[in-house]
Amino acid sequence: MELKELCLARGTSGREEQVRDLVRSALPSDLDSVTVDRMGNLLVAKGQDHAGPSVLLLAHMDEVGLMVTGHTPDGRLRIRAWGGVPPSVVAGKSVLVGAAGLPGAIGRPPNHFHRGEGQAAPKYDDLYVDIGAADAKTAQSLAPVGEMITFATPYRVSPDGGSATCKAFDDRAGVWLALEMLRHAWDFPLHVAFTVQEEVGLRGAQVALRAVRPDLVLALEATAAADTPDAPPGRGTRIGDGPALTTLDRSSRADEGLREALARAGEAAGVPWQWRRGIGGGNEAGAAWLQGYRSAAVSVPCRYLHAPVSLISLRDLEAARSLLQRFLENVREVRGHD
Amino acid sequence: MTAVEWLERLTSLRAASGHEEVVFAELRRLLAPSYDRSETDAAGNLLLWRDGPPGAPRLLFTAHADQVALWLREHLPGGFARFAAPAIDPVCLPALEVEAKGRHGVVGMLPPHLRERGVEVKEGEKDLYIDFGTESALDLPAIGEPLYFATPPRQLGDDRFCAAGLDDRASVAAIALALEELRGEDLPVTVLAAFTVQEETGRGGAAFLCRGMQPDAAVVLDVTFGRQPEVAEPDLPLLGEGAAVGIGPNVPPGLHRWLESTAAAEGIPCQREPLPGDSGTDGWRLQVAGLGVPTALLSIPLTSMHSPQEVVSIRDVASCGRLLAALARSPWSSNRAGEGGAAWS
Repeated sequence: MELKELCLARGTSGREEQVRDLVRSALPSDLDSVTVDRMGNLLVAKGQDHAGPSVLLLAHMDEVGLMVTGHTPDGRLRIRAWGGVPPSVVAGKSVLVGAAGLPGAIGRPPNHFHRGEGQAAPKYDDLYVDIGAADAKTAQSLAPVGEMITFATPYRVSPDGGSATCKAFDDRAGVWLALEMLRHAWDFPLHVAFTVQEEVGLRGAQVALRAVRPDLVLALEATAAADTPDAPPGRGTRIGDGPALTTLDRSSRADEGLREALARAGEAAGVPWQWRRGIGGGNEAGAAWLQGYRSAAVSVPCRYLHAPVSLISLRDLEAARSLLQRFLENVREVRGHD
Repeated sequence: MTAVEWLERLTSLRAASGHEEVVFAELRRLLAPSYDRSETDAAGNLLLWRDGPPGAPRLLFTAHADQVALWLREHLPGGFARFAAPAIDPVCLPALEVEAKGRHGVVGMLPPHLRERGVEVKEGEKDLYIDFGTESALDLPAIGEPLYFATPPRQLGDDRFCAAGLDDRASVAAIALALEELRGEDLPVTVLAAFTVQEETGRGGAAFLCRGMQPDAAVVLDVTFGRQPEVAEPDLPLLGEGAAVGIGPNVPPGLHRWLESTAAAEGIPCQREPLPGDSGTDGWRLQVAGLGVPTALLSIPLTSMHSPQEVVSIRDVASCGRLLAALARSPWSSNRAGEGGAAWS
């Protein structure tokens, strides 16, 4: 499955159907089980007759977006963030509304009306979507309250092939990596949970973990890169330096044995990797940690995370695949927790 | 071509001030059967002539061909660049895709966790940069080159069209529609369609329009602020109710009456736009150019001007084109074109 296809699929938290169908269509045929649980998580397993340790890969299907929350008399949609989208990145962007994907535009007052005071970021109260409806009734029937809105961002690769821009690398990059790992035959039980509702509180993973009860958990994620011109040097995770391994974030402390094995796998695979710099944020490794599982995260560095357009290094993605593959090949050598 | 086809075609072109040739080439090509001769004047404006009978009065339709842009100011290591965006609201820019000559970039800024809490774009474009996602600065746009919003032109609902650069390509489309409609007809006037340069950087091109040819009347087309919920101005013209006829010192009363009565006679919707001072269009300069030009203003309502998401009504563009064609056909009485155009007042 192409990363492009995964990124262009649309699904906010709790509206992952389209992404789930796409992932399902890309699953290999040699799986032991494919189920969708009551939350909407897609749970797959292979190699269940092998001895442990059993490994669960977590990758979330949902993306950040917006929700229709009301209509103005002149047919515009009122909106709120669906997941963590700051209002500062929303004005002037192209969007797709509802499951049908009606084209919409997020307006902005002409700059002539606020010269010199245009720097204050708008609040969601000041942001509207125009879908071409002339009145509230038309707008309501085309885009009822509660409809999802996603960013209309094409997938582009830079001319040198090194980087890509699109929406939803968080976490379709992780979904892509998990699908890649499912293509191989492994000599241990491998589970993958393509989860729902990560962006609204690591919710799908909690349920998936209770069903799978694995020995080891790896969250496959996208993490914020801060290697841009105004960033203080050395503070940020960098794109191009390989996948980022988490030591500590707001949700968890990575398991030491897993961390060490992941770093060793990076060295053995001969690919660049880096420690994730910064201790903010959180991911599904944290949900696992809170349930007492040994967990760690492998993240693809991503600039402009949670914005209508993000940027990743395709070399980082390839390096993450190599690192993961090497890690799983040697998973029996992961040191215990003693 | 239909109004939507013209809008799609014209907004897929990128033409910052001083870079209008790409629009002119397309107009010369697509309108070839609909004009008698073309010329490019000293300022670089494109003039398309529809010749009337010898000695016929000259009616000028004009719209500017350029659009707002970001300008590359400085390359930074790592495939980044600083830019200037003089006519653009910086609030639209974070996480926006821009393009130049087929290269795409993202407008980036410091991630939220490294910014001062609550502060967004503090110093305008100084806090922002373009990220070309490359390790090499080779092949990047050069200093001084324009960068454009990468918004895909698209239709919204039944009647709205959204794109970057509809200011003023929507007006260019209306003039193109009028020329197509008038193709092959005998007209009582000579119609001159002028597409001007560098409006967005100071209304440069239009001032040259009457050098060497004194029009007897001019209709200046531009876009105007349409009503939108983001703007607390209740009297702005609404999208979908027709082009707005300007009323004020920029327009002799006889001229705006001519536009309104012609529209009424043809059943073409239009609305009024009160303009008590500078109209902010090419018309303000044109009116006092040379020996003076009787100037009318016809504006297409547009929301989110100068943003990446400009929106117009497709019906408005089409009806504006029909109104221009009707003006060109309407009988031209001698008193209307009287001494120096004084009859218009």
